[in-house]
Amino acid sequence: MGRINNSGQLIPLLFIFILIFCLFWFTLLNVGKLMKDKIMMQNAADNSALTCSVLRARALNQLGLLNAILGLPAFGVYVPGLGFTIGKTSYVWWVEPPHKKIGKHTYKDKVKLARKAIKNLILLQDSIIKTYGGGTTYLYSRKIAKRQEIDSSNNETGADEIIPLTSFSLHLKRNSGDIIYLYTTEIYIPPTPITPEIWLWPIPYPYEIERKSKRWLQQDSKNFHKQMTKIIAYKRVDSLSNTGYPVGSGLLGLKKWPDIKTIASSCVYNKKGAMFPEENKNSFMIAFLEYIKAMSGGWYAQLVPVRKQFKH
Amino acid sequence: MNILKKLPNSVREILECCHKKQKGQTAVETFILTSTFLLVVFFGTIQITIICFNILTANEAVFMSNRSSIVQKNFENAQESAKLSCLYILSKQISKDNIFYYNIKLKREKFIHTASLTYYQKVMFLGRYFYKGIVNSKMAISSSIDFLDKAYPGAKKWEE
Repeated sequence: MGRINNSGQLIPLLFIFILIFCLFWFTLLNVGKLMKDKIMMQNAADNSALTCSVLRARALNQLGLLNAILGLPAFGVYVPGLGFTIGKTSYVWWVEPPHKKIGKHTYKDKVKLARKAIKNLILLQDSIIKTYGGGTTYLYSRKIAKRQEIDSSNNETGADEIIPLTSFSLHLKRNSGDIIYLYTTEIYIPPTPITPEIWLWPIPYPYEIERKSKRWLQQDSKNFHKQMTKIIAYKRVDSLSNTGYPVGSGLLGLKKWPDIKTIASSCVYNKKGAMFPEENKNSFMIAFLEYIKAMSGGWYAQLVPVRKQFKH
Repeated sequence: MNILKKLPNSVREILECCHKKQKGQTAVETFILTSTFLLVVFFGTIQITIICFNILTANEAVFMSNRSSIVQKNFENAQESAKLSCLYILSKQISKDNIFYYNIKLKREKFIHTASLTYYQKVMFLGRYFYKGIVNSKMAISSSIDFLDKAYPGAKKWEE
């Protein structure tokens, strides 16, 4: 009778136990990754939305200040303003200093300068609107969402993409109206033994009338109050950070790894007022006065409830 | 076997008897080992996995609770919202055998909300002994509650 060989008896049992432990371990790894991703994606959506609003607030504050300058009356002073309005017409008059040349003289240099200053100011405003009211804001928000997480090789493994559900537009319109540029006339007749000195300065005279020209910025009456941004940040199944996941898919029978989508809303607010005049208001210094009213408040950004579809 | 035949009968009987008794030894050893292994290591692993899973879920719950509370208009709404969010996330884990009690507390200090979730979880084979988990989350609240649905004084609401 031979002796029974018992060696190796526990190996299959140990193998099964190790397999089961691995299953638990894999499950934990997968669930942990999913939850970490979900929290990170919510952060990505929040930060992306907040970035968008911060840029919007920055743009509105800059535009408000430029609008206030445009809203000043450039009548007799060297200010690039259109605020001196009578009816629907703005009058711009940069006074030429006196030259005291004998006779009647008209000077156009300062008018040309005033016109150029106003055009440049409007150009500057337009460039800010183009920059912040669309592409750049989207790019910044997208970058923030993507860089929410980076791997050891410095690859961006945050959100794959963002979907804006609202417009990035600043909801501002350009007020248009007639602008009359005035030049300065000077009449000087030196004194004689018989007649006294005659010096008439400054005398305004129309130099150029621009019909329906661009003036200050005003609210878009339909949308200006909608200063809210809603953004969805998502991570796809085939995202770079999902490489290798789910761990142990063969053992666990997992073939699908879920997409993760998160949503966030933010807005800009000003505690004092709108900062920009209402549509088609043309009263005296309206753009400047609206800015002064809302200046101490300023535009700020904050997170807000998403509402409707997904209520946070 | 030849050596056994040479031995006296009495000694041979004793040795054969001993040899027969060794036959069930491995089975007994395996049974004892398996029982110990199953009870301590196997169920221990299951329990640790459940605890870890619950910690992850609780973290998610407290994060979402705080996230929902920071955008509410007042503290009462914030508390209600935090409780609802917490219940929503934890609901699948709540049972008499898993998380059987939880409590979420919200604290507001100036611009910071601190959400603290305490939960009790049953531990296998330990009867009256429970695992107590505490997870926290801090977030900055929306700075102006008056402007959560409109942009400036006198403005229409966003949805209008």
